[in-house]
Amino acid sequence: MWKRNKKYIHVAKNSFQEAIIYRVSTLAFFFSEIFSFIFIFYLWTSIYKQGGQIGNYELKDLILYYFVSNFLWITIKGTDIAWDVGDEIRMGQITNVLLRPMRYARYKFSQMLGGLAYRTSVFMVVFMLIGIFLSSYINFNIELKNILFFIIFFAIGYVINYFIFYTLGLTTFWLGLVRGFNFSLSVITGFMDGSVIPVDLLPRIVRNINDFLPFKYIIFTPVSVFNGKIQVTWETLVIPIAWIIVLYLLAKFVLNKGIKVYEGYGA
Amino acid sequence: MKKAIIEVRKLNKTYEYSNKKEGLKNSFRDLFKRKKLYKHAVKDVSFDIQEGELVGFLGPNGAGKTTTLKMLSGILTPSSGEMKIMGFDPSKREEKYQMQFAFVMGQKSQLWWDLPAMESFILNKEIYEISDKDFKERLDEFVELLDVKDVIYKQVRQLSLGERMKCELIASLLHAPKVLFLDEPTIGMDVVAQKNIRDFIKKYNKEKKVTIILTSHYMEDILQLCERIIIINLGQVIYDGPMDALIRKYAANKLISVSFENEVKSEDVEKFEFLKKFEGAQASFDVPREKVKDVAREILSSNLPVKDIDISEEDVDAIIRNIYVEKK
Repeated sequence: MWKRNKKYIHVAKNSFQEAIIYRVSTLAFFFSEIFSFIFIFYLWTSIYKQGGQIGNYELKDLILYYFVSNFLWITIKGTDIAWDVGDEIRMGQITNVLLRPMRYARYKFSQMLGGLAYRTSVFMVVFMLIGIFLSSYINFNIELKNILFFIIFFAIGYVINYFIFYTLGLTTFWLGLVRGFNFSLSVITGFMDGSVIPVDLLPRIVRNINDFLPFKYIIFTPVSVFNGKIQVTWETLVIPIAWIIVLYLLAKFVLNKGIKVYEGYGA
Repeated sequence: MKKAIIEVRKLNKTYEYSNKKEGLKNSFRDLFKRKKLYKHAVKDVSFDIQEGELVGFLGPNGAGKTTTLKMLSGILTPSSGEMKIMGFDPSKREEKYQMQFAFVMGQKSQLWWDLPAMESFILNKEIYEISDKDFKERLDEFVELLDVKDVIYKQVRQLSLGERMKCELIASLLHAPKVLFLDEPTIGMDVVAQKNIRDFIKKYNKEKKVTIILTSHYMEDILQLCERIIIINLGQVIYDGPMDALIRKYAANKLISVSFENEVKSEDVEKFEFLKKFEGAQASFDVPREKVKDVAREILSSNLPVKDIDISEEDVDAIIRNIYVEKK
């Protein structure tokens, strides 16, 4: 079992190394992140000038929310998985995986994990620095329990996001190109997953629909576990895990169908 | 007779596709309604290949060579027909089969673009479960043979095409495949690089008794490497036999192309035998193999102002034409 899967660890390692090579791109990411955070910070500070609270968020709650959600956004959604998968299919690079004793699903997941590991380690440091700057505004008295649960929900969020966009990328087998589709889905899910605004501030009807969708587990739920707004119970764990199973089976189904129609594009 | 390592019987592949018409209006129409069309890429292809053979697939672009290789490697499922390679049905894509062959594509890299080739080698070591000892021995041998000692530690994107192809070959051979598919391995390379790759393939086939199928649309590649040749045109096998018989029968001539310093009179050129084409400062001659030397010598020692002379094999199209002419 271990021996058979060792190759995937090497895939992750290679992709981690590749990520390091693009330091400039990381740096660009880093600055855009700092700027967007400063922007959000001043925007909400001026909105809250009169005091009071929006929903059940006071100013310091919202700043903490965006602090954590930005970290999640850049680590979990920092690579365009659908684009990556789609391009591999469109340009025929997937051929190289298919003809070797390797499973494409595992190969891709480990490759993406390599990138995630890189972004997580870099941005953990970056956000700790931002955290020091913010420590006079927000209360970082987070319980250890919350941090441990946060790590679990971070992983769950990553996997849910991964399967959604991986499967979207796989539709390239039929559609030839997924860019337009991908873009619209990213914009819509930005509202549903909690990266634009906490989902409990959305209108009731949208919230009700959203409760039946997997998106909020990507960003909103891990943040709310971190700041203690969600108390972790069995139920909070079971539903997203059920989603993972559903999305995994869907991805598997789509991949198997897709390989059947694959014609090895690009000679 | 020994049992063949590759058996192919009446293999067919039909693609479904749709034409995209030009213009915005038509693109919009295509969005809703596309007419399905079918392309018969491979038609009733059959052949046997014995262990250790080095067989050349020759044919113009789009003839069905790559499609056939893709079916043999399990990427494409045939529309009909049977294949057996080392006892496996490639379409099932069993790991046991995948561990024993390699497919090198001239136009598609398996190396990690931003990392040194060595990293891809190490990954393949894991994928194909190669022991440390075998890995080291084989790698050392290839590095020596292909002279790429430093090359394998450079980022792949910084390599020349020739260097990259050498690394592709190493990556594909580390697990000592029994069957090797080479799809246009010399495409786009300069003459020296082509020769290096060719020499290596030849040596490798001789020493390791590996069965190799090589596709190319360069006659030269096939001529240098293969004893047996299968010519494919429009999806069908139109010749399958020894190289020398093909040359004797269908490529009996070579092409001499001459360019002159300035325009010459047609009667000065026409006095030579075998003239094929002449226009001003260019002439070409279609000369039987055994007379090539004599004719070239005559031209060079005449008082024509020869600037350059080139002797080459007839191109694939000409050979295919000859085969069709013969069949009629």
